[in-house]
Amino acid sequence: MQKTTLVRISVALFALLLVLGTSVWAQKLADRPRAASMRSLAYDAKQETAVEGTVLSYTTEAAMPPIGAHVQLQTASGTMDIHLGAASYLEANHFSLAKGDSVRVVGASLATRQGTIFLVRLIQKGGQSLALRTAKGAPLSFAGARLLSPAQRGQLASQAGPR
Amino acid sequence: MNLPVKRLLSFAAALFAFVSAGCSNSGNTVVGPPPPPPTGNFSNSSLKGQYAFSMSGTELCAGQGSFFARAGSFTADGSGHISGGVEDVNVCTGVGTLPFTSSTYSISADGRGTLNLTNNTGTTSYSLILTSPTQGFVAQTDGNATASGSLQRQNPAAFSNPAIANGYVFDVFGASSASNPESIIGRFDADGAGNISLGLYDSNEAGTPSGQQLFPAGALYQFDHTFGQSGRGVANIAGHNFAFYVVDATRLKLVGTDFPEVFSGEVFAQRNIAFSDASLNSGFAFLLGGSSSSGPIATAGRFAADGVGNLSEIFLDENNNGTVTLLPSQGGTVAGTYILDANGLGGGAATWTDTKVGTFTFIFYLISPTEAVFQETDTGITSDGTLLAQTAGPITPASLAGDFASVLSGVTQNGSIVDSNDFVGQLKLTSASGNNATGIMDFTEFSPAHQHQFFDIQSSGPLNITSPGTGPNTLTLTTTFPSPQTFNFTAYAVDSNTVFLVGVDNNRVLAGSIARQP
Repeated sequence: MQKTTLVRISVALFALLLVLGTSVWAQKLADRPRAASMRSLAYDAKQETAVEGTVLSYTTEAAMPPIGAHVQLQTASGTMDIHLGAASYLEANHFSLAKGDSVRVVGASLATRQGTIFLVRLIQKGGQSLALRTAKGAPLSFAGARLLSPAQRGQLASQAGPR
Repeated sequence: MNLPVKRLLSFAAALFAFVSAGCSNSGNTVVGPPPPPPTGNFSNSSLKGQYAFSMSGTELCAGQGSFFARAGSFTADGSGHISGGVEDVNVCTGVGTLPFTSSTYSISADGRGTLNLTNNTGTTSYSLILTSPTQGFVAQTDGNATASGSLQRQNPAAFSNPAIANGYVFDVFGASSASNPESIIGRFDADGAGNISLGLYDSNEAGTPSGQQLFPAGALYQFDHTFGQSGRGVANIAGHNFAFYVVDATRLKLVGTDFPEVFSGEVFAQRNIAFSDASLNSGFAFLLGGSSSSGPIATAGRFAADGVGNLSEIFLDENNNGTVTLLPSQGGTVAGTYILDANGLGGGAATWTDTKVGTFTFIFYLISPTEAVFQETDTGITSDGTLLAQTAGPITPASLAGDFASVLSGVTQNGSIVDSNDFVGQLKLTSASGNNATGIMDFTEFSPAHQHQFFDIQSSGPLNITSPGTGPNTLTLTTTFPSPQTFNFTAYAVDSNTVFLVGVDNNRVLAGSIARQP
């Protein structure tokens, strides 16, 4: 019985040491640069705005960076260069754009060496709405397809080729 | 050198027209004109034993490109046959552990070859290049997906918990459960009994760095009862579940097994010393890849660390989805600092500022005083890679002359299509001035619109070394088939055996490396 008690005390002390040890380590965590610098083309969700306008032109071949689909949008305050990201993402989601379309976009403006560009997080046309970026501003074309529903995944899995 | 190959970017380039006399174009497969007979000492017998591999890239999922990862092990018999093995895949339909049935491979004299791995879902095909009989680069070139990575011969003596007892540094990259790009780097101690302690990590999800964190409860590693003979095990690292494949006691390959998140990466044994600012005291070259707010990003460069916290001779080439930034900027100057964590466990931070472009911030975990995993921490950028000590130099065309294995990954805008690309092949360098580089490569152009594979595509051009060779050099490669294309790279030499490459064209984002063959 005494041996069992000692073992229990020992285990408890060890657990306490682990907790204390973790606490000590937590206090020693390095001070990382959390407020890192913001460079050109960094999406700032705090600067998001909504813009409405008319498509002057839509191209899937950018004349200048960033690579991806661009729209020249006529708004009440002038013409904007809108970056939509991968055109294939729009096509896969059956979202088409053409000259004369009225659209509403939510996103953030950025100053680049090529001029100001508007990175779109959400685009709406008529009753159709498509998210192009995550809430953090990352392009959904990177891995957005992984957010399919289980039913959609199951259907895809049954049709999938070699993995 | 244990050079981690970075799966860099995931995206979607149709570069070429498909006509040329004397060449073949069958459906989505294009084969270049017959190359000169390969030379070298490689053969099927060069690939013999158990090999671990890992790679990541882009698959097609519901009409969209999507990041995916795989890692595994196969056994080659030295005669063109794969007798078995297993892999873990993390694809958009879920995760799976898939044993290989009878499969095949072929290696030519120059170390280039093919690998076909069959499981119960079918056969996946790869192009590969060996740097030696113990390691090489690999790219998936079958039209089902595009991906690239590396393979290394395994040491079965390390397939047990007791063999995994050391400090380790890790680096994984992938997508979070919210589909954001995410990089996690850090370090931990493994005790040889499956327990992990002193786990520290820094995560960067969609360009938002976490700051240094402790591993949450539940960290462990454990060899697999079913596939342990393949060096497979499972681990919980930094709060995420992985399958691992042991190369040897100093290196493990990781693939994330949680879903819908996906990660690919590696673990390296850490030198058992107390790291300090004095640990960084030489020139270093680095290569990073990942994703920014606008799309894929690739960065390469170099700096000199003085052992007391100062950085100088800083050069950087960044290609952020076609926007190329070079440091020092025109008319600008660059200065920087670094600091090692006071706990001596090898973590640290580096910062430099160009007077015109702005500040660049990074963190790292040292594997040794000459190697580290490296992560950018600037807002909106999720990018990680490798930091390697440079030779004192000089690097010259003569010192670089020889045969190299090459691997590249990235994206190209071609007309209205943006393709994901993975390249693997051989680059021959001579000491001549001018047209001193000739290459041959297999590669993919992969997008929802088309999936093309190119084989035996030849290229040539100049590698121009700017004395002393440890700063930015230029490599220009031009292909003539199926149509003329020019690829412009900045080349940062680690030493005469390894060179980092970053593409500086506005219509493509490419990064990779070349590694000397024997």
